[in-house]
Amino acid sequence: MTTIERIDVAKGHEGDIAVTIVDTDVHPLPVSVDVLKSYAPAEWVDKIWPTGNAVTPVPHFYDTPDSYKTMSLRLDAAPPNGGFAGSDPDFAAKQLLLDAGVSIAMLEPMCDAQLPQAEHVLKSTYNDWLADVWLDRHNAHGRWRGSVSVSAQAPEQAAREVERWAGHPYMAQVLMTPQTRGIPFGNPHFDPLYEAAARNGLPVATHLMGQTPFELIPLYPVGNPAHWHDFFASWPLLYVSHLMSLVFDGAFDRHPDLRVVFVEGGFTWAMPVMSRMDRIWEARRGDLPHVRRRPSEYVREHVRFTTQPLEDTDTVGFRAYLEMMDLGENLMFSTDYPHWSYDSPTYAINRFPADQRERIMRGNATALYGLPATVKALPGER
Amino acid sequence: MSPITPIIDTCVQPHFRYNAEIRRYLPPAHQLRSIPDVEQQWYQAPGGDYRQDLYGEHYPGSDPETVSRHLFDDTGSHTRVAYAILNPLTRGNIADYLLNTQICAAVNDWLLDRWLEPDTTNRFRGTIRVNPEDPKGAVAEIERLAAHPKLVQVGVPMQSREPYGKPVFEPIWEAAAAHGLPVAVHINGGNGVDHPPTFAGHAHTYPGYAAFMPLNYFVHLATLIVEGVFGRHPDLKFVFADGGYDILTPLMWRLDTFWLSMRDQTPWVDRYPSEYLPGHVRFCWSAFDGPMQAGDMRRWLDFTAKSDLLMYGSSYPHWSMSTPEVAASDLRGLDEAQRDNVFWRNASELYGLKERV
Repeated sequence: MTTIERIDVAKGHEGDIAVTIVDTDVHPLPVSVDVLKSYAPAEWVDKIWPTGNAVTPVPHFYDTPDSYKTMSLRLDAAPPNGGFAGSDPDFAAKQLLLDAGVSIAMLEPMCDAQLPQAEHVLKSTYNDWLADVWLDRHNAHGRWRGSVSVSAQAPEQAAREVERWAGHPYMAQVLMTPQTRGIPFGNPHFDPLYEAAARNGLPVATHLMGQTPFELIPLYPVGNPAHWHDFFASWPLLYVSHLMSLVFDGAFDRHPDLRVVFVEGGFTWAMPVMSRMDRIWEARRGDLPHVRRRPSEYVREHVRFTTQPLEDTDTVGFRAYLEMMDLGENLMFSTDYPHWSYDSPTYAINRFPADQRERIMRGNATALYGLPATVKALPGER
Repeated sequence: MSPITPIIDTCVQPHFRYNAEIRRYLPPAHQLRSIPDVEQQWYQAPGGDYRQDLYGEHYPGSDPETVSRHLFDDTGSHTRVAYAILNPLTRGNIADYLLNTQICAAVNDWLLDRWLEPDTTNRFRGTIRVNPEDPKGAVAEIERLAAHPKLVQVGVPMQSREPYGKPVFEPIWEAAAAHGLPVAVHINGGNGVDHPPTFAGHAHTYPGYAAFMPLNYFVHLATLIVEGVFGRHPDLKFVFADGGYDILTPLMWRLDTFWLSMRDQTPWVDRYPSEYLPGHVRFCWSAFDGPMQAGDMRRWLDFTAKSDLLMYGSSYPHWSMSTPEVAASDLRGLDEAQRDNVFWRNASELYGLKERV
């Protein structure tokens, strides 16, 4: 059996290197459910994991190709010493930071629970685990950044959770599911969370979570497709719905410092949606006295989109589309490591217009998250 | 501006003079049933769904002579509208699907009685409204009326509790294709048993509703492709009459991107999903669709060859209606052939309408 050399990240570095690539969508997993349980309040363990051995993510109603085998993960990202892809921070550092060349990576764990209190406790448990394992014990290089996972069902508790982590050196954003059981993001329901996030300078990111139980699957207005293919191609319309709600329901007017990051939901739709909102707003301003600016201005100021999965269309045409779209200030590169539809930095960079590349690969994320210009090099990294 | 002639207006909503007028066309057994009005209670535009100057003694768009004058005569010296496709609304996906089927039949009989048969100018064409929640009734209604020379398409609501690619609907599409009738999907009037109109739940404002609702067509389109409906029915055409072609390119790219990975789940999708568009899909013009910069219109349309898919439609008498001159102004960057496609040729080929002598 071959043994792959593990990086001893604690043992030093060979000086600092410039930050060139920020990856805004990376998924860590606990190495085992027992490890996760050790961070949970004792009285919740049997409630959140009632069989004693169920793990998240649980099987999906909309399954990606061969998901029984792959769990939607890159097979080559499985750590050599066992465990799921994304469960070994040091191997992930070798594969994503050293080999793929990512300077800083934003970690976004995925987890769900059905009832509000359980969701809050589970998210809180993930935060303690992430802070200890990824952001402390395996972060001597300082290149992992974390997300404060919060419950969308319990915004007051979510706000307190944000306060609990505010000031942590490596917690860089808040993470909330977009599968909000029929409550659009602009609803005042979320105001306590937005206030806390904005007050502490933490952007609110959203990323798809599990697709079981059924109540977490967004109810598509004209009914749900049968297959992952048409389900996932339509998924951006969930983000469009939330974005229109944020703008038309005045969330950015109520929270001028709120920043929202739409992760893994496409971004080439942003231009037509901004234009569509502008046209409606111009025609119906009397219905929207609380929306003081043109909708597209709110999007440019308050919203960021991550790039993976890049649409696999003709490269030259794609670049021309992005030039026309002119949202180079609002896009942030992401890989989705270690998931199956990973975009590598070398594949991605060529698809952006030359004058947007630096901003998309690095600049927009460093500005949004307040990231440093240099980081410690890993052994062997130039 | 050079004259743009001729024009086919593919999206006109004629209305009953008053909401209760429909009862005259219903069978006696249904005349005392409760039927929603056309304008939607939950998502009605403040001030009314229709252009304010068109409200009067009767409903906007309810007098054939007035509509003719507005569509055909008052369009400015540069334009000449030759035909208008009438696509009346029904009253929503009401729970009693058998009643809804009767409402569709009543709308069709009214359209023939009030609009198409008295029209000696031969410029109006009509729609066979059917109720997809009653597939047998819908097929029977198509068979009843398909031979009428002035009925040129089948009409169904955007609203549905299942996307139109699902097998339950296939007999309806099969009947339409067999008669060479395109299927027009349009946001319906009335009130039905529907899901919330956005993916995130109910919209809290009318503009929030109006901005999002047209985009739901994409789920119908994606399922028609992925379930293999277009593959099995090469003659089937769908018209998405509320526009929404602004998100066509991004979302078709996304559907294409994952096609190869999904071949084992849906092997009958034997080509890139976007390759189904030219043979099967058309859009009606919408005032909400377009690039951020007016000067980008041409290259924006060139993505996904949208000028081959787009047909001018005024949406008269809706508040958001676009006159031909407004549309022509938006399209001024296009070359003559592309403008001709949008204003005339795409619709002429789809509906088999020839230039009159």
